[in-house]
Amino acid sequence: MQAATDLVWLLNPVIAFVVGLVLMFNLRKVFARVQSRRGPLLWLPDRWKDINRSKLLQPLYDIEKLLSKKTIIPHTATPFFTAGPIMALSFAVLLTLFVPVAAGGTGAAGKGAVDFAFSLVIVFYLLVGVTMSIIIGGTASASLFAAIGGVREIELMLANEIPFILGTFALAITAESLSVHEMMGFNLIFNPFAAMAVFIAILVKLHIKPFDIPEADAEIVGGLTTEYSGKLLGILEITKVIMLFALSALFVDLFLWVPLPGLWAWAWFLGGVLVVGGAIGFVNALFARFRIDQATKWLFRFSTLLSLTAIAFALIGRYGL
Amino acid sequence: MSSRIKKSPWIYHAHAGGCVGCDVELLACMGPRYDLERLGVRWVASPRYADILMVTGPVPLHTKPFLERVYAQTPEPKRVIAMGACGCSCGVFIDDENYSVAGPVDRIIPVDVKIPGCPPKPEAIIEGIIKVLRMK
Repeated sequence: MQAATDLVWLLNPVIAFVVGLVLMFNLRKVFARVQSRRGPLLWLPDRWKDINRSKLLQPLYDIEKLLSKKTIIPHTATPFFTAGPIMALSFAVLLTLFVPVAAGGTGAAGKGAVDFAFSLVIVFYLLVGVTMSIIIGGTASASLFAAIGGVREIELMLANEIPFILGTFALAITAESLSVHEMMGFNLIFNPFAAMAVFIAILVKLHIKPFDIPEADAEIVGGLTTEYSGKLLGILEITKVIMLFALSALFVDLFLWVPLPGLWAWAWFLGGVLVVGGAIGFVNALFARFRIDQATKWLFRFSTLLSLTAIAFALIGRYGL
Repeated sequence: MSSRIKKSPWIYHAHAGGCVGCDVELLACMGPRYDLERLGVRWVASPRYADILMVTGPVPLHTKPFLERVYAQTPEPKRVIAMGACGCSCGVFIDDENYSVAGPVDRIIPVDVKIPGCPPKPEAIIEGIIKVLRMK
């Protein structure tokens, strides 16, 4: 029995997908409400009942439909075109195993995830892995839009990794450990600079509005994913849903976590994830898109400065002046 | 087959040589008053993502090969809506001696639903989209 409860982290990908669908719906709904539209309706009026009863599962319907459609593979594409999304999905699923979900209990089962002394470093590599696989898959299609999107994605990634890594390392200095589980706590109060830097980095990683330059619908037609259709696009949508959950959960774990027992941990965790998802939705709805040069300049100046402040803050807090 | 499209219709707007009247009405459809996203409609940027093609304009000879290509790029199952007087019947360009027009949309690609009007009101556009969603 003990062995079975120790393996509870194997459920993390399923939780990530289910909660991720709710977060995705939340993102669309917040976007619509800020523009004073209704968004996908929760209850459709009687005359539309034959179309659908509720749009709560709209992201799931999208994925289901994409998986049932024909997949077109351009004749210029190399085999990496099909391998890219599958690699991205497997990296995302692996990532969910390392992000603690409602770590309320004691012992190995209570951690809610796989935990090593260096699990933060694994999280970095898996996050980069998702982005890199999408870049590989997109550029393998030999589309010009995908090439432009790939260049933008790499520039953005180079500018973004530094603040993200420095921001999380500030917590590692405070906790004197690289294990995600030992860094967890309500660090929003103890190190607000790190929280800001990591939140901005999460926005960039999810391609939320001021930083949706690599996929800019209006100028480069979806960027890296231009040539994808049908089942491969469906796999990319699933990846997006899982990443939305994984990064929101990582933020809750690192910055908003309060150790609580049992079901209270679940309530706090899910509430926190919804709050972070709502904040991401508001940012998405309120800002217009940066140009790529503005975004990299801004990230290199403001965000890096913020994360360096976070490191200094953590060093002073840990070792004194 | 069509029940999946019914629940999540992604629409690609193919502009085939119209004035921009119909396109402005399409924008009004996504605004606060006639919000089409209530039905889960999403406007997409590439025909490869699309389920429904929304074609406006009388399809000039110059645009005909591109329209055929966009239709071929849309993965099955797919539906086509011809919108506006020009899309349905070529409108004021119907004259047989017109040297630059290839004909209404249904002479080039198969059309499922036509929305007449110059330009059609947003109510008519929503009615047309719901008609496509209810098709078997």
